[in-house]
Amino acid sequence: MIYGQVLVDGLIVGLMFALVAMGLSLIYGVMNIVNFAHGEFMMLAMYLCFFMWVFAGIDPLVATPLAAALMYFVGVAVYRLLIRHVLQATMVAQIFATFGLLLFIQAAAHFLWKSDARTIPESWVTGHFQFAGLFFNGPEVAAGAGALATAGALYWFINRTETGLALQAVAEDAQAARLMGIDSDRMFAIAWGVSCAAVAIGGGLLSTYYAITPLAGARWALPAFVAVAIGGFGSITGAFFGGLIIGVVQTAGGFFTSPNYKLLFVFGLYLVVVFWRPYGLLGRR
Amino acid sequence: MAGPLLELAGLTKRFGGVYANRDVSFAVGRGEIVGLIGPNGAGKTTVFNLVTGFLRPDSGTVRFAGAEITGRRPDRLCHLGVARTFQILKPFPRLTVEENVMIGALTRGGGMHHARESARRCLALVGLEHKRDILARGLSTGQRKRLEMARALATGPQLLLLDEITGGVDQPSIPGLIELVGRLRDEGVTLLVIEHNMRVIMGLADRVVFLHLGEKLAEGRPSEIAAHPDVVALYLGRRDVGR
Amino acid sequence: MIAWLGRRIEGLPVAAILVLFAALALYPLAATLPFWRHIVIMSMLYGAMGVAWNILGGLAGQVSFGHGLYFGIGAYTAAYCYKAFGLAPLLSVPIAVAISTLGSVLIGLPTFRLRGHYFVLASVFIIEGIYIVVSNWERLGAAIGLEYPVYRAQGFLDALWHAQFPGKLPYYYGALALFVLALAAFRAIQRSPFGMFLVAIREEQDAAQSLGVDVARYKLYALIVSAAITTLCGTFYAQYVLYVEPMSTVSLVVSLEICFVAILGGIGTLWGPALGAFVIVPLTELLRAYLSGRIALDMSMLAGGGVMAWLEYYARGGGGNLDILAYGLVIMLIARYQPAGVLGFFRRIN
Repeated sequence: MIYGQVLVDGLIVGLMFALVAMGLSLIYGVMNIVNFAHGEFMMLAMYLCFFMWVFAGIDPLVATPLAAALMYFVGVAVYRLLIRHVLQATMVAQIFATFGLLLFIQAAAHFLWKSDARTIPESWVTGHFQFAGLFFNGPEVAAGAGALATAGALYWFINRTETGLALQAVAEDAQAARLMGIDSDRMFAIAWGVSCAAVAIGGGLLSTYYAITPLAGARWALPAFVAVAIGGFGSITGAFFGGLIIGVVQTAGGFFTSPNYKLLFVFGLYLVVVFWRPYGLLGRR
Repeated sequence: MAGPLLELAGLTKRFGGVYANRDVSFAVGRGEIVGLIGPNGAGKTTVFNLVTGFLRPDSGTVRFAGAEITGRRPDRLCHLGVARTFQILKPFPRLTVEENVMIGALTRGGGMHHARESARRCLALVGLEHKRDILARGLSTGQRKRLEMARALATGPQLLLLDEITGGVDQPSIPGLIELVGRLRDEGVTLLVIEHNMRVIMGLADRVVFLHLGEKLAEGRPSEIAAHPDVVALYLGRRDVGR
Repeated sequence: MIAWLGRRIEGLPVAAILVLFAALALYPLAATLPFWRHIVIMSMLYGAMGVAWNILGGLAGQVSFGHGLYFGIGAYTAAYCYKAFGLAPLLSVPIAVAISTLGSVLIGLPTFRLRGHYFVLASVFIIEGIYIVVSNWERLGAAIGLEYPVYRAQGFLDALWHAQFPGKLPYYYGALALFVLALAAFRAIQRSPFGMFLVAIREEQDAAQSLGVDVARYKLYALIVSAAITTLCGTFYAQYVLYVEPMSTVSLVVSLEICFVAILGGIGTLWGPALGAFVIVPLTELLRAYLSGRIALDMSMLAGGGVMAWLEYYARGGGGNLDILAYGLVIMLIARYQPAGVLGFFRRIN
């Protein structure tokens, strides 16, 4: 039974990693840029939800879509002001661009709101319940379910909508897409907006139970990079399953050794994957 | 030493389920210029990558000067005397032209001073000595091709693989490049050359190997190849004729 | 006879460099207060590490966000050998360098096969993983770290044996020596075939390899040299602060500080990282001195104070991390406008 509990806990956490990883992989797939600042958009969404709760009494579940809508425009703005200008630059410059953004947003949050942990003590989904002999934490289950739904929506958007298909065309070959009349610049901006909005939904859902600090986003994004690598950089579906895998690996690793070491297993998994299968466990070349 | 300088036997390389090369065999004799032709996607550059160690064949062997070299690393092969240029040109953009060529000379040892002299000789040979102090990214496509040749030449190769002599070069620069390849042969370098422009390769090569969909369809003197029915049907029958 | 004075090293005349180092050597005569000496000691220390990082990151183009590991190896080896075996820190230097070289080989051999983002992420995960291990390793004091017993030396040689000095002056010249060593090593490499190979690898790895450059080997050599100098700096740091803990040694934060110095100064150039350190470190230290004690300001006091109270709160540094905020901004600007470091911005304007 205890193994079942570990597995289920891991999958629930994994759903959130999956959502974070999908946004990362979307941007990588479309324009070959690793967004180190991805987690910071999540953190900003957490603070947005927190302040909406504090000042307006809005429940995080209601605030989440609002935060996501706002973060969509933040993502577009980041693309227009920063990313667009490094698309043709060296990879080192691209890394510095998003890493600089990470430091900037994180430090800004520190500066504005201090490093104190903030929590939203009561939302609509507090409490525990038991099902089939397993224990569940209400907010975590709600966050996992929300992440799954968002992941599904993201998948639908990429594969079933005209914009999503245009995005895929740009990812495949930006020049050919341009010949087909697709404005790749606009597509890149949309990719950033969608990616940020998706991760913001994750942040909003987490704010119902997770301690909100300037570092909260990075704690989720760092393992999510491993999920992206497992799934093969650029693969949205791969990132989803990669997220589930690291959720389980992290939970099981922490359970069987010590919670202190849980991330070691995730980082170790990254090294194993990139050395053994540089294109991801699930990815093809 | 008798025997061919380069010998490919049964080279096969798959990507996923697709054969990029299938059972490709041919040889290049010392002092020869051999042309490698075929339509886009015929697997010409894959042959280059297999010979120069950038790819490892699924099966088959490569022999150089009598010794088997299959799957050895590019840098090791360079020390044995195999050099190449790239279809998608790869100069060191933020180094000067002279420094670009020095890299090739330095790997043979002898120090900076010696490498600089050697680089100047190679640049003079390809006709770029007047550009030696500018950054490589400031060169035109034709000049970059010359730079890549000079760089490869500086490693002191016995065998030089040229990937596309005239591709992407403006018309007036083409005769000069062709003449340069002839000069390389006079320097005692054996050449294996990929070329799209049929007129160029027919005038330059001693022998021609024709690839299609990864397989060798024909091999022979340029006049034989030009008359070969498969080649005529697949290649010469189209717009490339008389270009 | 004076022709040599006209020669230049990377844009600076030799004479100017001699004056610069003479000024550095004489600086303690002018600055007698420990704080002012401390700032320059830390600048030279970070300068040395930035220059060392630059061998790998700037010449070879391998961006490592994990150099804190080698800093930590130097610091922990000295502290542990001294506490556990009473070994003189100077004698533990070869041990530390040996461990750092072994670490470079073990990490470099597999990771240098990775390209681009894969490599950068591997360096982040390795340093984060090492941090977790060290901060749970009881023998190394876990998260609390190792503190040196204070030793009152009898005379200079005794102090040298224990590498603990009463004043800052010996540390000052130690840091200066490291700084000069790093610059000399960088310059020697830059002008050698080895340095040319590294730059070729950075510019176009496949082409370098096709020209006979053993890519994996030279990347590894670059890492070993870069790591060894960083390790020396780690040992120096341990002896200077007499206290070693994970956060200030084997953390991602320290690793990032090391490469900020190089990035802001201009990666790939000889003087960039050195200059970067002399800008960043004093600014950071002064900012910390100015803000120290004020960050603890309780936010609840702000509630009744209106807008002015908030403005004052933020003017005094708000919740902290103003320095990182500035670094992040400048790094983004460097990425967007592509100058060679902050110096490059000025060069562009001219």
